[in-house]
Parts: sequence; C-alpha cells; structure tokens
Amino acid sequence: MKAIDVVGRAWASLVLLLACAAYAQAPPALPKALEWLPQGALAVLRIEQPAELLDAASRWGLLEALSSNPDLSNLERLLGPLGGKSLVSGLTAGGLTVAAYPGDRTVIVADARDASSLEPIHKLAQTLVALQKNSPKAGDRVFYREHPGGASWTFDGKQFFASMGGRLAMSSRADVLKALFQPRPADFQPLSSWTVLAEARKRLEGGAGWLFLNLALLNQDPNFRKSLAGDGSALDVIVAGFLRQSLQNAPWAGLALRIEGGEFQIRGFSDGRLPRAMAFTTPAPGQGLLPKLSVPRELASASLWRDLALFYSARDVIFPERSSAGILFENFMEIFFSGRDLKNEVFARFHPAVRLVVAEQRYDPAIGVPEEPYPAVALVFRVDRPDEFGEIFEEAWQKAIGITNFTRGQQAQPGIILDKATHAGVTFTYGYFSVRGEKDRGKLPARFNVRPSLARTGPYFILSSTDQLARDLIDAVRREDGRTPPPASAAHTLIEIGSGAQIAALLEANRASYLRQNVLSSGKKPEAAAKEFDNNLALLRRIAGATLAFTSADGQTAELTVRIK
Amino acid sequence: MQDSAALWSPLAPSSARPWTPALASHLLRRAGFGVSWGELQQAVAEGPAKTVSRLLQPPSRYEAFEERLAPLARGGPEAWLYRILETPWPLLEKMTLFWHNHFGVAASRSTAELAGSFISLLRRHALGRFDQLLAAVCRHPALYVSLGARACRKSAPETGLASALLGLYTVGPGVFGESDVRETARAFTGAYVLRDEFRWLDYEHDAGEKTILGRKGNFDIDGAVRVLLEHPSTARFIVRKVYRWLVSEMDEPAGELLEPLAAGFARDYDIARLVGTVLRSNHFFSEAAYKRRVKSPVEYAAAIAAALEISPPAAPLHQRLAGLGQNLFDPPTREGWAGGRSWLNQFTLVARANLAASMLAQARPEAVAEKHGSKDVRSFFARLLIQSETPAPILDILVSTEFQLA
Repeated sequence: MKAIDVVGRAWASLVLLLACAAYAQAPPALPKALEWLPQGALAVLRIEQPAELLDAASRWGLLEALSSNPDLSNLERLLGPLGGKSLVSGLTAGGLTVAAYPGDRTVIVADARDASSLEPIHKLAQTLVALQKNSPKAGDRVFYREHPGGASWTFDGKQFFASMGGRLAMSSRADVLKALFQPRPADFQPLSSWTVLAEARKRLEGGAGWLFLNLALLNQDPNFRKSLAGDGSALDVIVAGFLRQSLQNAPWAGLALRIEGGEFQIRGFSDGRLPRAMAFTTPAPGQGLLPKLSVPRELASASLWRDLALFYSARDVIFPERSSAGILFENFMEIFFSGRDLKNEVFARFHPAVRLVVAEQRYDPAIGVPEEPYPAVALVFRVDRPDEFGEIFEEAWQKAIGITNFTRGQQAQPGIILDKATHAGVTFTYGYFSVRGEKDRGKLPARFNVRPSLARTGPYFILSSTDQLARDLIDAVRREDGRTPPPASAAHTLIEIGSGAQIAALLEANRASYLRQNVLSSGKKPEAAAKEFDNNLALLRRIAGATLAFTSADGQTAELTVRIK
Repeated sequence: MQDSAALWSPLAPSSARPWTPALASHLLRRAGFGVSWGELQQAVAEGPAKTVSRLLQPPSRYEAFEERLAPLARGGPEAWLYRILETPWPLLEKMTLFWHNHFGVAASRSTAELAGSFISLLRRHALGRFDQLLAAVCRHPALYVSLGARACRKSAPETGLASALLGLYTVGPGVFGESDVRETARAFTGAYVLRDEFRWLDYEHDAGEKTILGRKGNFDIDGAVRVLLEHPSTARFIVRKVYRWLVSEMDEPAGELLEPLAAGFARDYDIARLVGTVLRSNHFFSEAAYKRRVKSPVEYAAAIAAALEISPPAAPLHQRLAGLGQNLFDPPTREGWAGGRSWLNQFTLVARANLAASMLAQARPEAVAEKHGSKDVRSFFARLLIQSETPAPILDILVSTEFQLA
C-alpha cells in the first residue's frame, strides 16, 4: 500500500513537472481564472481583492484579535519578513479563486500583479523544501523544480503547488494541476461559460467576493440532504422550513460579500421556489413584519411572518407520512385547546406578525443565581377577540405547565408553582421553582433560569421564559400605544443581534460549560480550549450589531449585515 | 507446583528471570491503559519493585492535573474517558473502572448526574479501603436508583437490593440463602432516595432482630455491612475479581492460590496493598498472567492513543467505544461487563480495526518513532506494542491478536 503511494507521488511529481515545462513553452499569457478552470464544480469562491479584505479586517482589529491564534501567528511570522500584507496584495492583485470539484479535487488559484510578485514565494518554497529535504523520510516526496516561466514544488507530497507567469495554483491532487497546465482540448468548457454559474453571477458579482454552491450536485449527497432535513418537528418547519425547502429545491445558492465603511454585508441568494404549502411564511401584499420591541439588556430580537391558520391547513402536505412529529403536534394542540376547531377557533386568531425577544437576565440575589445563567426568551403576538381568546390561551398555557409538572413529578423532580403578579396595571400569571432547601443559592441548578410567564396587554400576548422579561415587554408594548404599528419590512424573517460585548458577557458567564464541550468534542487541552474561547470572545466584542433578513421574492434572499466597532 | 505464598512473593529479577521490556509492558498494561515509549523505558530502567511503588502513589503532577480538569467536573462519561486518556495516574482510573464494573451502577438506570457523582465516589476510594468504600456506596443514591430501590419500606423490603449486595458486591453466590436476602433487605428498610438524595426515614426502618449469615442482631445498614465484611467469603470474592481484573480472565484460579491474598485483604481491606502485592508478584510476571486478558474497548483505544502519543477527541471516541460494547457510565447489567472473550466477535473485530485505522490517521507515527531515536517506524511500534522484533505495518500490529490481549 505504502509502496504504491510513494510510486504514485513520484509519478505525480514527474507529470506535474513535465506539464509545467510543456506549458512553459506555450505562450505564457493565461486566461482569467474563471475561463481557465473547468465546469462542474461543487462550489466556487471568488475574492476580488483579498488584500482589501485584510485591510478591512485589520482596520476593524480582527487581525489583532486573531493574532493569539497559534496557527495564524506562525503564518504571520513566516510572511512578515517577506512583506506581510504587501506580499498578499501583490500575490493576489488579480484575485483569488477556489473551485471544489467532486472527488476531493480542490484548486486554489491566486493571480499575482505580475510574475515578479511570485519571486518571494519561490524563495520561501525553496528554503522550506531544502529544510524538509534534510529529513531522512523526505525522499522523492519533497521537491522544488524550476522550469521556464515558473516552478513546481511540494513540501510533503500531499499538497502540490505550481506557478506560471503571474499565476500560482495549489491542489492536493497533482493530476488536477497537470490537467490545468496542459493545452486545452477544443471542446473545453470553462466555468465562465457555465449557464448556471452565469445566472448566479448576475446576482453575486459587484462586491468584494462571492461564493457559489452547486446545489443540484450537492443535493445528491445524502449527508448534505440530511443536514438540510432538520428534525421534522412542527416548530422546526414553522421557524426554518422555508430555508430548508428553498435549498432542497434550488439548483444553486450563493453568497455575495460587500464591505462598506464600518460594516460588511453578506447577501445570500437561492433560486429555489417554495411549494404552496410553505405560503404561510409569505406576507400578503402591503403587509409585513412589525418593528422590533426594545427592552433593557436586549441580546437579540426577531420578527417573523407565520400564518398559523395557513400552516394548519397545509399540515397534511407538510407532514404527508403522518409522521410522529405531525401526530405529536396535533395531539398536543388537541389537549391544549380541547374541543375547539383548531383552524378557525385557535390558529386563525393569531396575527401572523410575531415578535421574539432575547435578553440577558438579572437575578435577585435574595432568590438565588443559577450556576449557568441562560438568557430569557419571549414571544409577543397579537390575537383577534383578545378578551374571549385570553382565557382560552391562558387555559392552554396552564395545561402545558401542568403537563410539565406531572412529567417532572414522575421523575421525582420539583415542579413549577403558579402565581399572579401585577406590573403597570397588567395582572399576569407566572410560575417559579421554590428555592427552599437549595444548599447554595449562588449556584442554583439550571431550572432557576426559568420563570414561565403569560401576560396580556391590549390585543397582545406576551409568552416569556421569565417574569422579568414579561414586565419589560409590557412596558415595550405600552410604548407602541396599543396600536399595531405599520409594517417595518417586506421580509418574512428578520433577526437582529445586539452588541457583541453583551453576548460575550453572557458566554463568559457560561465559560465552564463551553470549555467542557470544546475539550471533549475536539480533544483540545483545557488551556488551548480556554485560549480559543478568549479569542472568540475578543472577536465577538468587536461586533456592534448584526441583522439577518430573509425575503421570498424571485427565489429566497438572505441579507446579513454586520457592523464592526 | 509452587506453594502459593511463594507465588505471591515479589519478583526478584535475576539472570534466570530477567526484567525485560515485555514484562515492563505487561505491568504497565495491567496497571494502566497503555504504554508509551517513554513510560516503557522508565519502567525498564526502574525495575518491577520501584515501578509498582511509583504506580501506586499519586505522581507529583497529579494535583495540577486535577486543577486542569476542573472545567470537566460535570462532564459525564466523555469527561471520564478524557481523564483516562490524559491521567498521569492511570492505576487510579484502572481501579475506578474495576469498581464501576463491580457495582454495575448505570446512568441509564439512574441519572447521568447521579452516575457521575457515584464514579467520583469510586475514584476517592479506588485504592483506599474496601470497607469504607462499601459503607459509602450503601449510602449513595445512585446505587438505590440503579437497582430500582428508591423506597426501602418496612412493609416491602427491597430484596433485589439485598440480593445484589450479597451476591454481587460482598460474599458472592453460593454462600447465602433466601432468608439471608430477606433479612438483609430488612436491615436496609428506611433507606430512601428523595429528589436524588439519600435519606434515612426512621419510621420506615424495621428495627426488629435479624439473622444474616448466621449472625443475629438489630442490624441497620451499617450493621449489615459489618456482618458481610466480617464474613470470610467477602475477601475471597473480591480477591477473585481483582485477580480476574489484573492477572488472568482465561483460567479460574484455585482457592488455595488466592488464600494468602484473601487472608491479607480480610485484615483491613486495604485495596492498594492487595493491588501492590499482586502487581509485584512472581505469579503476575509468569506465563499464568502474561497475555491472559482481552483488552476492553476502553483499554484498546487508550493503548493506541498512548502508543501513538495522540489525544483523540473524547466525545466521538466515547460513542465509538459504546458501539464496541463499552459505554462508560452504563454497564449493560448490574453484573457489569462480562469481559474476556465476550469483547470479541466478528462485528467488534471489524469495528476495532476501523477504530485503529481512524486513530492511526490522526497520528504521526514516523514523528513519534523519530522523536524516540528510531528510524524504522515499523520495528519501533512492533517493539513498543507487541514486543516483537518482526516489523509489520502499524495497522497490522494494532489489529493483531497479540495487541487485543492485555
């Protein structure tokens, strides 16, 4: 096996060398990367000006935050004497293109300003190859060979490099590079003439870079399809079903990157049309999402358009196999709203514009502080005929608490005690776990993060994981003066993330839990996991805010905008 | 046949019975989970007596290791596997695993939190004294929950609990009858687990006279445990299990062979002394013990990791080992894992080969051999792992019969 491997590598090195030499005798002017690479890629990444990206990252302090990463600092040390950023600028002045093909064949192409820009790389490669050659195991696996117009080399027989004129190409497969540097057959079909990519490029080009995904091919991979499948539960379908369906049906998807001033924007597109059953996520003309509700210590918010009556009408299409998820959903709805017509008497009462708020919690030390603090989450939704529906919903909510208590009781776990409280004239129901008998009130179990609450103010219901957030939302809804504000967006899903520093503080409070997961799942030493965690927090603190909006029109559009401090 | 006292006397290396890398490796495999080149060389240089003494004591860096592991304190079976792979005191984890197997308390029959707390208890006493360990186990909620005995009521004594205590944890089968089970269960009445805590409810305790293994008294938990510990069968039963764990699981040892060990153990139930006696002995370094155990999946994976000097991610490795039949925290029955040949079948042998191949792919065997001054990587691993001079591809070594044996 090993012998075949060595022979294979030696052969690959030879053909690579011959191919480069053959090409060197041909005219050195190479076509643009997209005209040079063949069609059929699984994914294509194009960065127009990598140096500009580096500049922006440096301006925003991202490089500084990342410099404690050992791999990156090693790279920095290596490239520093060669000119650092100016080297990258020269090396990639014509852009960077990455194309991944089936069969683990990936090619990275860097187009330099000119052939002389590659000289430092040739020198570095020669030095490293010479160092590697000293190893007794190096043998034929390591080589650096010059030829007219360029050079080819490998440090380990696993990653191959070839340069020609001002182009540097890298691949883990020597035969892939060989094919690229050979004269092309007459019927060669480059990426640039690929219809599906051309269609995508119309929507992707014009910014700092773009990524194209060939979903027609990727969706043939069972693992990829599985990753898009979700858990099939009703909640999963309601929240993310539109995205999964869109990606499963689309021939392609893409991301376009733009950088402007203190923000960067990633727009995602897919041309997958949603089936009729998913119409419950699309706002009717003239309608749309409600503006966010602002509360103290807010971490994130979301505004969604989900017509539950339409969803319920389409349930047999959405869950065609009478799956356990669908049956479970119906069973629970029948228990919660027993004896009612679920479509007309329950789901039709909910206005489709739903708002969600996530906020950091403050704990009353007199009650106790959980060892691992979680954020509070709340849903705010408007209902028709609130006086009549208020009791129906309160009954359903108390049943849910009762079922939870019953199940916990079966497991000998403490249950939730229901109580009433009044805030700003609104009397609402909330539940709590008793702290009586808890030994360490500074390290309470995770259940003390939850004080489920249901409040109503005017036509709005507030369903919150804590009474504190319910109170804050009563104030926020009151500020809207009880009126439904005009639509704030044509999107069907809008997520807004607040200050990265606040999220970082919350993650820091759960440090032990994150470190544990990282160490056990990655095999890292605890010290290395801690360092990585700190680096990530440093990066997060640089984020001033972010928004992610999904719109259904001519396919699906996702727009992520991140503001950097 | 040699007398048993001589068999358990410490090995004194001589020209007739030299101290070899094969014997040093045998000792490290049984007293831990695998052998790295550095550890093997140290053991070869120190000789058996000094090595065993060192293995029984916490190394100087153990305290720092515990501090480093603080973030994993509530990590479940994956965290334990991480500890096994990284510990500087492998004998402690080896004996913790022994007691885990002995008591058979499972997370799936209790809760992960209780099982974790139970493993911590086992670790605290793993090389301490068995009488103290048993007393602590009998007041730990995981034992009761795992055996389905949350409420030991006066009107319905938990005979399942008593049967496990007698037949699995102390005197062993064949020594007691149904009446002993009933009477022991009466001694445990009043023991409850409420909200995952052990509680003693006096009003549920049967305070009447009981007769356990021929002894009469108003026994409660402590009293019953004392009777069981004072019965000579308990020391014999534990020693027999320790023999199977450290020496050989292929042959059933004669009673006379174990008698000196049992007599010594019964004096004060000092586990470390028993383990030390076994590991230093002539018998341990004889053909009767050499390659007479099958590595459990955990031992198999940890041995590969130690030799290749890699730190595989514990969470996915734990899943693979569960697939091979050893789900830490979750022995399949209250008798623990059957062990021995039951680890190997057509399916698990293929799965072991796949595991070895994937761990080998994470490693840089050439670099490991080079680091230890060897240019011939195959010969290096043949000498390290199976003490053979026959060079073979590393994967062949890892899937060889010789490497399956501990």
